Amino acid sequence: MKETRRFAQGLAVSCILLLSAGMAFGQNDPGVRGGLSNTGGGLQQQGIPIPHPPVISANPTTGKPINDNELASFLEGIARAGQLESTCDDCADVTDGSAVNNLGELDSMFPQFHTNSNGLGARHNADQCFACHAQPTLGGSGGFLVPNPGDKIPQQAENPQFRLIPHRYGRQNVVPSFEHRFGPIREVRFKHKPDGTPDGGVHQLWTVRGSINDSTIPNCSLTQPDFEAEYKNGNLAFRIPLQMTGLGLLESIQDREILSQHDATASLRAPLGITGHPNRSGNDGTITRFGWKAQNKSITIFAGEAYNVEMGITNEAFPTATEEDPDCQGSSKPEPNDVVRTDSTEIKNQKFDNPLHILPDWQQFQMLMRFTDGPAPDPNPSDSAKRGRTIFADIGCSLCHTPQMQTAPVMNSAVLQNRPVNSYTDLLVHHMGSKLADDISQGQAGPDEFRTTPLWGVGQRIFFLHDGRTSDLLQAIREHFSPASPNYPASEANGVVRKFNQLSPAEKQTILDFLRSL
Amino acid sequence: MPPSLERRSSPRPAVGHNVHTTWCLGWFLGVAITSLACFQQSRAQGTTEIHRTLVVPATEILIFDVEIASGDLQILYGRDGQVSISGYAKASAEAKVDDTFFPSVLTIDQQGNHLNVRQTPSPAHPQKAVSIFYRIQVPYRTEVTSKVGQGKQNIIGILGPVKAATLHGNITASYVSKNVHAQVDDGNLDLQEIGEHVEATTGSGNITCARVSQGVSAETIDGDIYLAVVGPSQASVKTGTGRLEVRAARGTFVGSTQAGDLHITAIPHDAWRLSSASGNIRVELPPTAKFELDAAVGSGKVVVDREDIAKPNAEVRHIHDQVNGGGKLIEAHSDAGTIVIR
Repeated sequence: MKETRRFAQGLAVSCILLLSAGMAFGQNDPGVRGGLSNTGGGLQQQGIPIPHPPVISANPTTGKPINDNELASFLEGIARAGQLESTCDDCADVTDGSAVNNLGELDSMFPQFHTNSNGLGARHNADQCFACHAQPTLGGSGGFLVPNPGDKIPQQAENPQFRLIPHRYGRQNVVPSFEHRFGPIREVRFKHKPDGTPDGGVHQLWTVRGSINDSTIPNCSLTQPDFEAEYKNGNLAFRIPLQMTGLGLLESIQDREILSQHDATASLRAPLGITGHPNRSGNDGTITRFGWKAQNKSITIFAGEAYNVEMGITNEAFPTATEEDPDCQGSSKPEPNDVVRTDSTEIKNQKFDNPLHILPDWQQFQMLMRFTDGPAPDPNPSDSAKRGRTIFADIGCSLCHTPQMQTAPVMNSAVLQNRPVNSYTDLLVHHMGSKLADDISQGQAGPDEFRTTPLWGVGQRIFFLHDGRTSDLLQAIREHFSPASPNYPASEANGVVRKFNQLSPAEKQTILDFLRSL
Repeated sequence: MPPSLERRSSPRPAVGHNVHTTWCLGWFLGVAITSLACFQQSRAQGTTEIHRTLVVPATEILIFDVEIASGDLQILYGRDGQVSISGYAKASAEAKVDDTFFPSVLTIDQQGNHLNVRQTPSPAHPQKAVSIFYRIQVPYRTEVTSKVGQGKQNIIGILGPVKAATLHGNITASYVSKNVHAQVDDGNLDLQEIGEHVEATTGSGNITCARVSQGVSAETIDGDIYLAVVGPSQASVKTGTGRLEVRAARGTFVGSTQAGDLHITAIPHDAWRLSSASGNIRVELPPTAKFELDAAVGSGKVVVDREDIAKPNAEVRHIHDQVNGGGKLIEAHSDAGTIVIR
């Protein structure tokens, strides 16, 4: 009898738990649109090259397509961004700038085990641009790559920071515990310096120590920072790679458009406690808009910074190396390394027979970003996704995730000018509360402030929020909620998240479906 | 006083109203007739467009076969997973095109990852009466076989290989990762940024190839050839005064001309064999270059303008030297031209 009662109690508890779970999980993030196996590294794993970045589409307002010179710049940009960097100045496996053909690479424009460029810094986060921008296509956000390129049987695609990049060419790096095999690509900023004053800067993960493809640095003995200790002390702020797609369009939006869109929603935002403000350049006072905290003014600055910070490649915009240890830089490596090409010989395959070869890699990279199309939404969204679009606006998500802005009416490029940009961002920064705060200030973006992340392309991203803490959109929405704390004001998104929480499971599902259609 | 001047000076109001009315009527009639004529003419000329977007498998290479009887053809990378075909036609004064034009001349046939586009001649639209332009955006991973009767071809930014042929018109291709085979009967070839090998032949026309890492085979019956930053290559101008100019040859090189000059400027990474019938041959090498020189002329002369090679006198027809200790063999031979070594 007792046993029967226990069984009945157990059954009842199980039913309650199941019902609770059903209510809690009545809505689900449908996951990466198209499936992980059909995007980014999932394709690579099947022996299919990752698709290249899409060319900007014809201007929907005027019908003008990208012109031939812009297209050539874009294509040269793909070649440069795909290059795999060697450490010294002249030890690439194939001639600098050449595609790697007939050497077993899956994509000659995105080599994985033959270097075709030079200049990798003594400290770096990666050794090629696309290594961290390959989801769902090259030029996208951070994704997975096959860790054993060139082997006959490819292993499952994974976080390239877990094995591929830290150990490529024999480099002897210790992989910190926050880089997980199937987790997000993370770079780190230190919140504070050892003396307690604010730091905020990127501390590059890897060094070139142990490189077997550079005979000029046999005595390099650089060590990595003690990431584990800093992690344990709560001194790390993580950032994941943003997508490069559509950045030319975002750059083409005038400040007046950003401000007028913001002004237009003032009466709707006020009751919800949403304010928001631009991050501005300390030099000219105009709105900065690139990066997790809208800290970068332009694609050009963004590109120059990325070359030096992510790959340690010095350039005209960032001419000083982050690590100047001569034992790890090589005796013949010029600094800055990637500069406008004025070589008098053809040794580096940089003859002045084509103006595109005069520009350095980092500048061609910014041309690539400028003319890469915005992420394409699902051309056939489901009925649920269509309904979700309406509810998304109704509950106030679009008060920050502004669905559409317009580029400047007259620009040098006909394909960029006077066209709608469906990026779902107001390009402003907002207080997000203690849950998301990373204690890093950049320009006028404070320690808990972040730029409204553009949602175009969110349908095919794997990880969300600045530190990639989740790959579940529902969780990402919930992370927007944060009450006031002693150190931070309440999240500006609280009012909208409350409205989201009041939706029925079916209505929440429509929003998730809508987001995955973007 | 001349009559005309007299008429001009006549007081207008005397015949004022009637003259003015008649003039206005005439003016309006003239404008109306002209407008009508213009309208009819513009109808006769006309333009029409076609736009089609096809979904293609993103996981497979697109096999694209295109044949255009006449018109300019541009094939370029757009985005993976789709093909966008745009056609534009404009008729000249004596012809007209309308919305029925493209459906009557253009067939688009897709079977999975195979795409065929055919534009056939239209008896109703004489070739010279309608100018046509096709812009076709394809995935990066596309193999192209293209034929154009009369018109230009421009192929940009794809994996390849590309096999392009034109009877009359130029072919340009750039940023193709695999082999390019381009052939025209009458027209120029301009092939740049090619990942593998280029085979370029033209009956009458010039050939330009730059940054072709796996080399070029170029042949023109009558025209100039210009090569820059190329892997192991061979180039031949078969007749006439066509010139051959080479910069930054990165592998073996074999080049020949008839009456045209042959000029090569490069670091001698590998052996070269240069010949001409009556054209001059000029070889420019860095001052420190190491090479083995074998230069011979029939009736011309050999001129040396370098410190590291003894200058031959005017009667010398053949020199052989190990320059800076020797290196790759550079052979130059001209029947009746002059050879200059700098």
